[in-house]
Amino acid sequence: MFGGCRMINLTIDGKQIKINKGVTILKAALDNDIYIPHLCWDHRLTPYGGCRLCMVEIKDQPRLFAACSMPAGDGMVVYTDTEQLRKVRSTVVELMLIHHPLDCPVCDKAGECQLQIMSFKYGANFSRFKGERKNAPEDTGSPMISRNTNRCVLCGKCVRVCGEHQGVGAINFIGRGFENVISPAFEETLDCEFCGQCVDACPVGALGSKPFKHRARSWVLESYDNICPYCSVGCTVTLDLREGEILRSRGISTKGINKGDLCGKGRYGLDFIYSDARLKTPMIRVDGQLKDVSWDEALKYIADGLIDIKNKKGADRIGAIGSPRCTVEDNYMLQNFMRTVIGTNNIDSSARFGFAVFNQAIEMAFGIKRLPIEMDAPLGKNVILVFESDVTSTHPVWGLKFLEAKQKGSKLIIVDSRETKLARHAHMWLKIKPGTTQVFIYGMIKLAYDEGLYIKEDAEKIENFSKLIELVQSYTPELVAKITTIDKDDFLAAASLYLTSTSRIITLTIAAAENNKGFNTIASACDLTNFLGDGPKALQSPAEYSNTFGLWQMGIAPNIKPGGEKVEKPGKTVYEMLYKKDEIDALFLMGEDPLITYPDLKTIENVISGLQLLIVQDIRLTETAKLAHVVLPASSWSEKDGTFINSMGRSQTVRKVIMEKGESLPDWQILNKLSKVMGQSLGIDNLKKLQSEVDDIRIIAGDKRLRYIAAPYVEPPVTAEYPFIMVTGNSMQHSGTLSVMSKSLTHVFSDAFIQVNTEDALKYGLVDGSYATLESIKGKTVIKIRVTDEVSPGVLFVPVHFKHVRVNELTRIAEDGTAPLALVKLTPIK
Amino acid sequence: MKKHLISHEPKVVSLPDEKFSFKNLLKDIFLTEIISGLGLTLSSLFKKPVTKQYPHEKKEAKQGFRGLHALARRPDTGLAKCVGCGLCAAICPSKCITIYTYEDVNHDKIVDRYELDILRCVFCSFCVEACPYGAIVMTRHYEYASYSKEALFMTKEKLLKNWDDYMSDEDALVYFKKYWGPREEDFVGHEGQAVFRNNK
Amino acid sequence: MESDLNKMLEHYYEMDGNIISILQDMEETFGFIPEDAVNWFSHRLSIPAARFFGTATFYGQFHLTKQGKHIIKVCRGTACHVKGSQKISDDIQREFSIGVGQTTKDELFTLEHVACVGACSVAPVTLVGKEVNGKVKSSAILKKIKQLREV
Repeated sequence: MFGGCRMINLTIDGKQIKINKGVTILKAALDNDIYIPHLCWDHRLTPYGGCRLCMVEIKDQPRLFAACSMPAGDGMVVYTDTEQLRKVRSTVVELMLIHHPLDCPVCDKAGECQLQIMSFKYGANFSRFKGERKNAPEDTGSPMISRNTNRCVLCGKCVRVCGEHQGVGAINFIGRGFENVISPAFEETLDCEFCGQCVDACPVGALGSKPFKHRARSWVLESYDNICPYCSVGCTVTLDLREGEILRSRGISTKGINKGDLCGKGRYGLDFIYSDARLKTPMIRVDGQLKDVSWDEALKYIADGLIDIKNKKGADRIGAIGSPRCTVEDNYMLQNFMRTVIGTNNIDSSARFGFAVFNQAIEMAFGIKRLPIEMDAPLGKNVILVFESDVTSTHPVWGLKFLEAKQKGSKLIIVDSRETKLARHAHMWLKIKPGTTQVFIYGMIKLAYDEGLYIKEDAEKIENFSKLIELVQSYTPELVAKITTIDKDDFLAAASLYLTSTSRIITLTIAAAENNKGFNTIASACDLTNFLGDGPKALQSPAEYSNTFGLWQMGIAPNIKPGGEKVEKPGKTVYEMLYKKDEIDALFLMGEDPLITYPDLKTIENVISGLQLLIVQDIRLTETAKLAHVVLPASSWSEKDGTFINSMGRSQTVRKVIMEKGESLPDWQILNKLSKVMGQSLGIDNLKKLQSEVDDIRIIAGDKRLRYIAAPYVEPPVTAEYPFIMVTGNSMQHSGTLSVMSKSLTHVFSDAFIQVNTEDALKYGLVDGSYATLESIKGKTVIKIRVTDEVSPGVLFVPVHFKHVRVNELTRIAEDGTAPLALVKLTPIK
Repeated sequence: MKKHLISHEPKVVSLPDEKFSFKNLLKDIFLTEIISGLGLTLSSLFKKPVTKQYPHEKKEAKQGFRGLHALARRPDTGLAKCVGCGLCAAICPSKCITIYTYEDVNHDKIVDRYELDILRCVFCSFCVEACPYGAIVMTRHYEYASYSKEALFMTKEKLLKNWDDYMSDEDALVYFKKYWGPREEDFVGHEGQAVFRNNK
Repeated sequence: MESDLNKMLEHYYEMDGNIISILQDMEETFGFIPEDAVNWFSHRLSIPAARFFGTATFYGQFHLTKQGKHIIKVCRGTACHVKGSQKISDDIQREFSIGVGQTTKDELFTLEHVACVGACSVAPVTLVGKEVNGKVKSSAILKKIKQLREV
């Protein structure tokens, strides 16, 4: 891409170094363990050359050069630490300190402040200059980021990280001269997406983490690395603890797949483990009230109940639901317990609505059992097509790669009914009617077929070719435009851009919280990839949560065993267990809260209340736990050792860094104990044994036969009574119901809202900030209105996290796999 | 062949013979040495005693004596001078100081707890030297032996009380400033911000 | 306002690096840079509002508050300073109870300091609107300004 990578030789401080052409001196030095001091340089950003600390001497050159922006040349001889350079650096630090307040005793950055380190190393003991010190008031209004402009050295790292890397641009240099500060527009309080990337980037104490503010000095902290429990990217977070309490988390540029990037959830949302709602002791329902009991009592109660049901009604009347937030070990243990001790395959999880659908589709289309995403997939692609997915909200750090790709010249086409962050940066944003992605894709296949934009021999070889062609024949651009409500020319432009490019990917997420994509959508995407002969890798669909991928691999499904082997007699799915009455008598829930996150709550509530025995094992008293007969306290993330498998298929170790809350136990230990109480030991005594058993699982690859799925598009019924299409999903600051436990994240917003287009708001008399009744065939709820242009007319968007607004009471399920969008109406409350 | 470096054979040491002299003979006869000894005793009988009758008689501490710790109060507000920078805790060789701070409603840094375990303290007074505000001091007070560990575990409140009890009089402050020369006067605090005032 | 903004947008939609031109248009149309207009543009062009704001605060030609009908510029160059332009500025500030860069309540006058207008020979210089007043005392300037108010 860059005309080949020519290697050059140079000498830095007497060390011979061989590097690629075009690399800067600073990068070359740092890569070879030679430290050149720097303040404003960051590996993610374009060089700025602002701080002048990285000055170096080059032999036979009359002046000094900034190593961060000077490309290394062949045969260069560089000196990084000479008398002259030390003098220059000393002066630079001295100049920086003219206006910098010496309030280190109350500054949280002290001890890890780059300016402090530099002044210790190079600075003089006194200042030759006297200047006015800044004394502006501190901006403390923002819930996550405190901004003290007095301490700012104007290196611009935060501005560049926010604008260039994060694609937000919430802050900028404001004013000029002495009044030059870093500030949001119109000097308002910072109101951005609160990713906190600027906080980690700031070399001094100008931008600080608000929840951490004044809580500990940096040198008393102990640091441990762990894997973030939120999404399936699996970022490495560095946790800073004081006396066994996690005070903050940071991203470190050399660690993990994220290389220093973190989102707001990973940076601020990890305090969920300290939520007041955490369970501390086992509880049993006595006379309608949950009462604290000992572990022995609780386990005995469960064992008796389960054995009773098993003996009287059969093992098939017991079901279990696993959790994508629990570790691989926990989930393995759950299926082991159900299959060995109970003797049933009635085991499933929330992945049924998302990841299972995806896996079903890839198995049918590509003949493979697993399709991991690639972290750098968007980079170097000519065209990136994203369908109805808010990647920057659901998988924020992966989403950054899309922005990076766009900056490096990839064409980004976003097909979405909502104005997501990617849509704002896209070359083309096509406002599609929710749930009609399939039509768009079939229109593309038809176009490719008509124009001959495919490899004929390869495409025709694949099974079901004639069936697919027959199916797509009717999807002319006119029909596509009609159904998707995208302008015909826009569709043609986007489609031909994608079809004519040489390297391309399609991205879409599919999850329980998102009701606008179902099996058909993913099937059509598979068909397109097959038709164009791009191979499965051209379809990038990340799993939902931190261990969704691992959960699937551990066989938390009624029809597959760990490793992907088929079960002879499949058990009951979530659809049967939770949505059909009288299918099971006992249900074991491990870390799942169906009464918030699953669609069609009323039905679940009905089914659950009819159960003879409901066991909920969770870290907090969930909505479902409030109906349970037995509630077991489980240890949370960071309180137990284990493994997460991220969406790239990479196993990452999750460490225990703090003590368990109360009497809680790791999920696998609870199940192990329970199996012993039930008189059937699984022979697992320690984590090592369990892990070696997990390691021995043979992963089945699949037959790798390509097929077209050719699933027809089913138009959802439209009624005049319910004029809106309601799309559910994740908001940028939250993830499922876990993040709602975090104090910091709920500071940003804790109230559910519904996004309504400005036009619709005028039409139906809905005022921003007021409340309205939201009603569908299934149910009714009251919700706050947020009028915005981020959604198309006729579309409502609502995040699903909050328990007091039961959005999922309004949604429905679709066992056939089509997008089960809810049609709703909104009536303002007078 | 192995050679023993140290011989275990007993060595016979013979004292040198004392030389006979007439002077020594006279000394032996008239017991002069005993009389001069008794003379010293007799003269000391009428002198002021050197020994202090400790619980009844107390000794004034010398300048720079490292007695009981105290937290200095700000003269203007009466609150602790300590801002919770943690330098005392950082330099403490026996790690007996722990400081807990939090952010109050005005977004200022407030020292929640300042704990000092005197039983672990080695009285090196590094904390006093490290403090940029002269907030932790060592008083002249040394009579704080106790039967309970709790009494010797200092909290912020106790340390502030120590200041009131032992450092509030003019005398004590003069003693402290003269010897320790706290640098707090070089710092001006305004609007929650500490700024070093370079008076050179 | 919306129609004015739309007219501006037509010019700049396809262009890159047009922040200064947009701000200049805003300044010309509204007399200052309104927050709403910046947000409106930022939303449509996908340029962060902070970038507009940063640029607007960097250049002296942009104003963030509504300007008065008449702009009084007091020269603070060296020659004018020596000739007592500070007193002129002080007197105007006292008379109208405004600071430098501020506008009177009736939105008639805005007082500004300028570095040098290049008419040092007639120092102290004060500009009332576009009219140059050289070698004048503050009483004369105040009189002139008061006359403008009555018009």
